[in-house]
Amino acid sequence: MSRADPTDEERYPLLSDVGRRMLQHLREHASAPIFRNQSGNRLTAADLERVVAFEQETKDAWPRWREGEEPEWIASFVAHALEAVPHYQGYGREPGSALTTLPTISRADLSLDIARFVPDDVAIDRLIHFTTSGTTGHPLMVASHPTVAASYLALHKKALRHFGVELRAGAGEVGVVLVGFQHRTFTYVSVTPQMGESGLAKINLVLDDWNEPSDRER
Amino acid sequence: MTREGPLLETLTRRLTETPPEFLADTTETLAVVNDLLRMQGATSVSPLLDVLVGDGSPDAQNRGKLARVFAWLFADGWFVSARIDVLPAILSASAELAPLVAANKAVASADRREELARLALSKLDLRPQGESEALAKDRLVALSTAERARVLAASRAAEERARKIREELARKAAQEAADKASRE
Repeated sequence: MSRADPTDEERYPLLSDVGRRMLQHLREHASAPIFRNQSGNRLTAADLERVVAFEQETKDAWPRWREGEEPEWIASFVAHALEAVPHYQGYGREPGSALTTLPTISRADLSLDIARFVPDDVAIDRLIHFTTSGTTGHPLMVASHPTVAASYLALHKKALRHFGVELRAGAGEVGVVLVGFQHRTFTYVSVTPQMGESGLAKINLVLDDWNEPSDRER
Repeated sequence: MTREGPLLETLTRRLTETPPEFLADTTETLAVVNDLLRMQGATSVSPLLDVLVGDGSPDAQNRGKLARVFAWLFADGWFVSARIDVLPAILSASAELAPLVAANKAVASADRREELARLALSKLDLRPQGESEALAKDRLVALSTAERARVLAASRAAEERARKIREELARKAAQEAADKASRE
């Protein structure tokens, strides 16, 4: 562990005994793979409230716009970007400007200075950092926020619900396992506070990531 | 700037003729401003004048000089006959400019004279005679030392924030970020 490594308190600000036991269970399972990395949800109580509210909104919402119309949320989203995001502030446009009147941006703009795309109202110490895989160009550093990463789950749940699958896992259970089969990838364990701190594991089926090949079946 | 005031050229010319005594270190600001107010019909000393009693600091001295320059400007016949209460405008305009521009330099520069005249009018909700409200506003913003200082400060603050964001992201890059269900 280097000095830059975050503590469990930083990785899991809401971690309870239930979550701690789940992490231990996943890390120390007799058939566990070699987890190459560490990660955490980084959600605070206020973040969790937002994420849960987003999940509720997403659950109930259906597209309400017709072809040729803009979704309702676009106008306020554009106005916020023009007011609070340095790159868009530079356009010098009125907050009421239509999305279609704004110049598009490219990967190069993001690569040049990602800081100009961080809204002024985001607390700097809450920022997190992802690096893209580089499939479509050089890997790109992307600034993000724990609530963004955590909100994916609401969309996955909605998509699964569309096919009749309901994620029901809660405290003491493993809720989500992301399975890859890649030469090299990011693997870790975590817990999901919006699902009762159920377990989350990202595993890779490639042989090098296992103590015993047969563990992959257990 | 909803009402029309005097011609801008009248005011800028008047500023070029500012008597050197108004800019001298030894001139009493309270006396000058109070004389103007009496000229405009005041019968007693306004308690608002107290804020012009400086503490001897360079900023306070500069504010006093600017207040005297505005007093000179408002002694123009147009304002005297309009009988407008100019004291709040003197106090506000001199406070706004004092930290940003030296009174002597303001009077010596054509652009700053125009700024002084436009700022003085705007503080009275007036615009130069013959100008539209939009033009008067645009011109004032273009010349405004305060606006330039605000833009510079905002730009410095934005760059400082961007620097902190880059540092934070670099620090977080050394760690591992947050759970992301779609991570490859």
